[in-house]
Amino acid sequence: MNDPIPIDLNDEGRLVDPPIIDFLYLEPALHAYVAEFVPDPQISSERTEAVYIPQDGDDGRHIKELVEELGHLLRASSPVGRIFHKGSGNFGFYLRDNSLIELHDFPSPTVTQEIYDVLQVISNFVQFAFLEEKKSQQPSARP
Amino acid sequence: MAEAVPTDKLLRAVRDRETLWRIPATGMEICRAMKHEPIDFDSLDRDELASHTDDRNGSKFLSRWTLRRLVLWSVEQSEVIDPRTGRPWRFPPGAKSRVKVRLAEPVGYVRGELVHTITMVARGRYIHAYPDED
Repeated sequence: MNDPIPIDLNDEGRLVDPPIIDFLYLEPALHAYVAEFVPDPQISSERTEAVYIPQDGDDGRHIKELVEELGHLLRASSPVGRIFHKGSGNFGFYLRDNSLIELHDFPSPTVTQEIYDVLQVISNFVQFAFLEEKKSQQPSARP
Repeated sequence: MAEAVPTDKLLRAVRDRETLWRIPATGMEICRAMKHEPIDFDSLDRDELASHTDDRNGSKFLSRWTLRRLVLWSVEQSEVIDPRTGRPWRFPPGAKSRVKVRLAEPVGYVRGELVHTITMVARGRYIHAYPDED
């Protein structure tokens, strides 16, 4: 990291606000989607949180559908394997053929907005799953 | 182990969020997160620095934290016993862990403030680290 990355001062990154999906992939050894996200500050004071979503449950199937929708919008040559936040308003998508699509390079502003919308749905969904998991781990209140 | 970790030149060829180094003993993989890498801090005024190191853009390491240094540090931290499991971080199953380490030296910027803390997180098989609030 000796060479600082040049920065684009015109890129204000206003399109994304927490929750922001930071990293999402299907982990075969766990049979689960591993989802890391930048939480809404009202939900957590940590800079990142994570949740594992079982692949075969309803939530896992929903994530699968959303990831497939992204692949369709991206006109991907193979299924989307990993999604990650590159900072600001940019996201990266590794396809299973190992190619990389960056949202900033995507030509259509209309489709780009649709992709942001799907990413926002995923982010909210993942944060909700995290909250549900947290709630289930708390001891139940006595009557 | 240190001799086996590639040079910074080789590590800089790794793509964003791909594996910098796989820890043979544990199966965990340290991945690159370019959004936390150094930027040209000197070119920014105070507001710009705060904006470029916020939650949207990611906290940033100082340039003395080279990729190789970060890999070696992360390997060392991953070998520390996790008090919840009584063993170092391993994969599988279900590693989901976080460690915060405060160092004597500044490590980077968070929301425009110089910080001394690095948070390292394990998500699935991947480990990554970022400067965090003290």
